[in-house]
Amino acid sequence: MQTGRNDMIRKMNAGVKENTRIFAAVLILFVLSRMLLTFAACAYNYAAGTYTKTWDLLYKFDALWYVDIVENGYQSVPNSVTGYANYAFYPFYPIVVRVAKGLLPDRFTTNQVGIMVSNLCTLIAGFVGVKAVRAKYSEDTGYFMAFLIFFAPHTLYFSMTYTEAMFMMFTICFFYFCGHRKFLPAAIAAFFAAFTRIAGVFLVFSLLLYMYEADYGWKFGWRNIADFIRQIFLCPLRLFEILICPLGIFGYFYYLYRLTGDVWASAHIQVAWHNSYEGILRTLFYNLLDSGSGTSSQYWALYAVFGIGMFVYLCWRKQFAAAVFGILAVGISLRTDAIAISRYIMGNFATYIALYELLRGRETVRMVVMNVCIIVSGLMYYMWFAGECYFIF
Amino acid sequence: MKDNPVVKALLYAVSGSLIVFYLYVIYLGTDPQVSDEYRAYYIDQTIPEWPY
Repeated sequence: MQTGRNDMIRKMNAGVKENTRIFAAVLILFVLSRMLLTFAACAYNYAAGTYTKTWDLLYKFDALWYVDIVENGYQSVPNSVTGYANYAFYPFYPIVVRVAKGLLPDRFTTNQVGIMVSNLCTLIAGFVGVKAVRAKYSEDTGYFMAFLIFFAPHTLYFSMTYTEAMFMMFTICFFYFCGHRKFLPAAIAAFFAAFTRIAGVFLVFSLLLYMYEADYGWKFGWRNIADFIRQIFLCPLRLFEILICPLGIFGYFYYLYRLTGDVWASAHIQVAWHNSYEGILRTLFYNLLDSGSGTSSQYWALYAVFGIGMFVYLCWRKQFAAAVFGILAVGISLRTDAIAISRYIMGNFATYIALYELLRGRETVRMVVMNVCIIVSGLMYYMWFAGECYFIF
Repeated sequence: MKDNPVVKALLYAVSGSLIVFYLYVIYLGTDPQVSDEYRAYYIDQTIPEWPY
């Protein structure tokens, strides 16, 4: 009995020591990435002859909407001039920022608190990302995953008052728990992901696939599928795990009905921002060949092709759960337009799984990719600060 | 714990409530309580601009 307890304590200590070591390494990578950001801010201020603070340089575009939601709540009618409304943005991130702002001293602005929340989420995402890789490949250190989350192009959104970092954190937690076949915490992570961004609701399909794989492997057959569905209804915990995933989003829809009279207000309001091409292929075709927005549309369309390629690669690697999430989450945006698709693709953990798998064991290519990531990310920070680069964001 | 009949009954009850709630929200979505202008611009898209 005593020996058993000692073994358990020894194992726990070893676990804590390993986690501390991983966290320390991830923290160093994270600090280096934020040094790159700050360096880009210094370079911009030097070139522009200004002294703008970094958090003010980060405060652009959607960040203004989130700050507005945190400070004033949701509006019940669209803006009388533009037709825009802030309920297009999902509520969990503003809720957390509002709570954090209440806990912190008044000297911090809402934008600063938003930046703190996003950066904390990014750090946690990097840590859990490394843990997820190590769980799958015990021989890997997994730090390349954290590197990608901190340095890959378009990850600049993880450092500002945007929902991307929080969404990424919950999504990574989902895949981490699913990898350990702990479906209840995975379902809770999916619930929060869907409460943060609508794309999170598609994690329910990944959850179903993970559950199926746990029971039958990837052996698809009518008998297995029928048995799987029957088991869902016979096992109430499994039923609950599936049903809890979309609760946040449905709660928000109900709130919108009370606020505006329209359950689908957050989807309908998109009309004010842009027209829909009504189909993924039409979106790709018109953005690549026939769009009035010129190079920006072509960039987005090519990025969409890259994203779809990554998800197809995941299918080839039999990572169906991640592939399905990537395809659905990116597909829902592509159905209407390719605008800002690069942000959605690089804010989706499925892309990172694909990149990691693709570059695993290819040391030279990986080194090239790492160098390109640092250069491109630094450039993107600079362009964001300059505020003249809407075309890639 | 998940084999405990009380826990099972509780989980079924919560799951049933969630299904009812989701169906209710979808039902509400079929009949938006909005102004004519809102319906024309955002839902039916029969007018090209928000009428301000």
